[in-house]
Parts: sequence; structure tokens; C-alpha cells
Amino acid sequence: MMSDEMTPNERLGRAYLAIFNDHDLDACDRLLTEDFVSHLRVGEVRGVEAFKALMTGFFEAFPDAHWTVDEWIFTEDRVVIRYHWEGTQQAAWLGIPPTHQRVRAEGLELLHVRDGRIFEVWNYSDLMGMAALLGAPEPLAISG
Amino acid sequence: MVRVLLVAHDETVGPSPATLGAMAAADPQLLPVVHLATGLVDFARGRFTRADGASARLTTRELEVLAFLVDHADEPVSRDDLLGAVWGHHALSLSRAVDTAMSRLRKKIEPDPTAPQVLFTVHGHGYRLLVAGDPPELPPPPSAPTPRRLRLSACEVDLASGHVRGDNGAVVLTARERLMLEVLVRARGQVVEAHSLARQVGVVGGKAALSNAMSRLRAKLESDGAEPVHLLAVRGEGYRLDAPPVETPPRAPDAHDRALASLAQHVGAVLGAEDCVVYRRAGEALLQVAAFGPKRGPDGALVRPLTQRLGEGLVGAAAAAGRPSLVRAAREDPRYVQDILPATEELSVPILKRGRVVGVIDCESTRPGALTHDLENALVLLAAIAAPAFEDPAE
Repeated sequence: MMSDEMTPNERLGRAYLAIFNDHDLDACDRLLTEDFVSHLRVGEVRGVEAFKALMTGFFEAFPDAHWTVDEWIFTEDRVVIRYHWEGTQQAAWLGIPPTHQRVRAEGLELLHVRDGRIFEVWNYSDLMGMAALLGAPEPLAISG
Repeated sequence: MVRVLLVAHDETVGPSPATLGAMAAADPQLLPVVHLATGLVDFARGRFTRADGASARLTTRELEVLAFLVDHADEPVSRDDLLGAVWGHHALSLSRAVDTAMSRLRKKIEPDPTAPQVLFTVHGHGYRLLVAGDPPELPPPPSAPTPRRLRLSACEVDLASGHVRGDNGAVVLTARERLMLEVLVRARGQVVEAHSLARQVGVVGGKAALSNAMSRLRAKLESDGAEPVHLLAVRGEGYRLDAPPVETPPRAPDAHDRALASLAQHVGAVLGAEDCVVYRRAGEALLQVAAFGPKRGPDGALVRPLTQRLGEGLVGAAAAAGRPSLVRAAREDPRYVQDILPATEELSVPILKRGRVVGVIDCESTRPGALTHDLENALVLLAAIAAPAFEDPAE
């Protein structure tokens, strides 16, 4: 239950988290701006539809994924969420065949807010640590 | 929406009827693939494939006529212009050659030649080719796993190792022979055009060299190399393999294929790349196994899967070097091999498993500057994450 004493950004941050825990991608349309961009370790996602495509694939792969907040920070134009999430890989994800393994990973997201919506996210999820739990990664090929 | 995926309007290599033959002789890969409402014109292979899957061979003249009409897409073209451009006749000729050729062409590219859908008569003037609209639904290629063993009348072949056991004792195929056989197996009984086969297996020296290479392969596989029953030449077209496949996939290919499809999907639908193809290494060959964009068919199967050799093409070069490669002026690079899109840029990131290259993630773009170093960094990470899903060819 959201308190009336919450600041607008606290309400926004908690609503953003609910996208993930409720698997409610329709909420993206009212919480994210049209020019939304998310900076991930595995690429830059531009636009709401691309973000939905990302999360659709993720929810298919981890249908029981659940996020738990370890720490919030709210400012006038930013929200910071330090969290961990857990889930079981039931379908292919980023080239990894389904392992049916349960994984736990930590992460941090910095949300930039404009006019009551999130327009930019910097995502520092421990993707590589999570991939390692699923049997990856290999050493990187460095450009030469 | 423009229906022409690859109209040859490249400023530097765009074919005109006058240059079409010369280009075909120089490099058939320079020629485009064009989608019409009724099917697909493959200039490189000289074939028209209808939406219902039927395929017809196009003559050189028909290809030249089509190239001229594509260059003047959706515009009325006069008979005299066609005569001058394709036949070299002077204007005002009374020749019926154009009408006769159009009649033949309609039988190949129109489901009902009496009710044209794409090649229209402009009364008192000439013809018009319609090339605007949605692309047709082409039949997907077979999606079943490629067989890894072949049982021929005189022997049995293990495609993974190249070992042949049979009437002539045990012999081993060379890397090129194995690749040649692999390409023919993947065509599943369809004819592989000679130019295409030569390029995919790295035979230079024209049809004679390819014929010699085929003779050597026949000597190892056929009871009588002079009277082949499996490795068949199709006059004027190429070669095909007539063999009952033994379906013995070495591992669960469906799970791996789906996994790699998720990788290509991420690169395309999420990261916004126009095109992404994932290659798996098999010996010295790089096989296309998953795709996003024009290479992905309606049911997820690959459209015209291509084989490249390690060290050849931009994909093969990146694989041989074991390092990512981002080439801005791809078509000006002599190593460039065109797939179904004429790319402006190409980004190839090898997938390494325990230090050995096991595959490649390849993105092409028709928009200058679309392939960024940020995307390259992302693909490097994705390659590391996906690597364990790949079979190590050295194992």
C-alpha cells in the first residue's frame, strides 16, 4: 500500500519495481517516456517497445523472477534502487539453453526522472555473475 | 512500404542491363535479390521462386529484362527502350521480341499470366513492373537438423570427422571435400548453383576447377566416379546430392537452435540492430544457425542459409583472427561477401570457447554509422555469455 506521504519519485520508483514483480509491461507506457533509454551491460535499449521486448524475453526465460529491494534513494530527479533478484531459467536466454537452475544476482539501477516519468536508466545488474551461475561466461574477445 | 529489398541502386555497383552479364561473370554475389508480390527474383542464381514454393529458371535475357524493369520500378517502360537496352535494337523497331519475351516471363513470374499482378501492359506504350507493397510469404527452408552421417550405395560418410568407410576401404575427406559435401547436404536434394558452390567452398578457377574437385570427391564416394549416382551434375545449373540422409544429430539441436535464436532476437529486437546472424563453426566452415531480420523466415527458420569458410569473407576473417571487426565501408572491402542484404557496414564478433573460435555474431546495416562501438562491446559480452552453448570443434 502506497502512503500518501510518499514523494512523487518514491511512488514512481515503487511503481517501476512493480513492473518487474507483477510482470506488468503495460505499465511501461505510463511510467516511461517515449524517448526512454536503458543502458545495460549487454547493450543500450532505446524506446519503450524495445524495453518491453527485452523484458518479455526475460520473463519467458525466468517466469518466477522476483526482485527484492535492499536500499532506496530518492532525490528530486533521480531514484536509485539497490536490489537482488532470484529466478529459475526455464527457457533460452541470451543464447544460453534452459538450465532449469535457480539463480540469484545483485544489481543497482539509477533512474532519471522528467515530468513524473523515467526517461533514462543506468543498469548495473551483475549480469556476468548471473551468467556464470548458468555456465557462462567465457573470456572476452577484445577488439584489435 | 517498398517491396524491393535489394534493388541494385548501389552507386558503385548497381547493375544495368548492359552490365548485368559482365557482373554475373565477375561475381554473382554482386547481383541483387528482388521481392515482387508474386515471389522472389534471385539474380545471382537466375531463379524465380513463387510464393507457393514453385521455382523457375530465368534465362539471361529474362534476367536482363527484369533488371531493366527493376531499375525503372513502377514506371511505364516503352517497348523501344527495352529493345534498345536489352536487345541493342534501334528505336522504332517493329520487332515482336519484347512482347514474346514478356509473354514467356509472365508464365514464370505470374500465377495467372492472363491476369497479371506485377508485370502490366501499358497499352500503346510498353510495360510496367510493380515492385511496391508487402513482401510475399515465401516457403520456409526445411528446419530439421542437418544430418551428420550419409549412407551412400558404396560407403558411409561421417560428416563430422570426414571419415568414409565402404567398398573402397577407409578414406578421409579433405577439409574442402567435407565442406563441399556439407553444402550439398544442407541443400537437401536441391541444386546448388555452380558459382555459389565454388564460392562457398573456396574453389577458384571457374567451373573446370569445380568439376575437377567434384571428380575427386566422386572417386572417394561413388562406386564408379564416371557414372555417379549420388553427386549429380545438373547441366547449366550446378550440382545436387541424391542421397538418403541418416538423421543422427550429435546433440539436442533444437534447444541450442532456440537458444541461439534468443541471442539473435536480443541483438535485433532489443538492441535495434537491423540484422543479426549467428554462425556456428564446423571444422573450417562457419554455418548460419540463427538470425534476426531479413535472414529469419516466418517460422524462425533461416532464409537461404549460407556457409562461409574460416578466413574468408568479413565473418571468416574475424573468426580466423579471433577478434571483433567493424568495417564501415563493407562493400569496398575485397573480403566482403554479400548475403541477402547489400550491407553498408558489417560488425563481426567471434565467439570464443576456451580460447578457440566456435562461432560468430554478425550484424550488417544499410545505414552508415548504425553499428557502433557500444554495440560491439555489447556483442562481445553476449558472445561470452552464449559461448558455453556452442560445441567446441576441437572436442
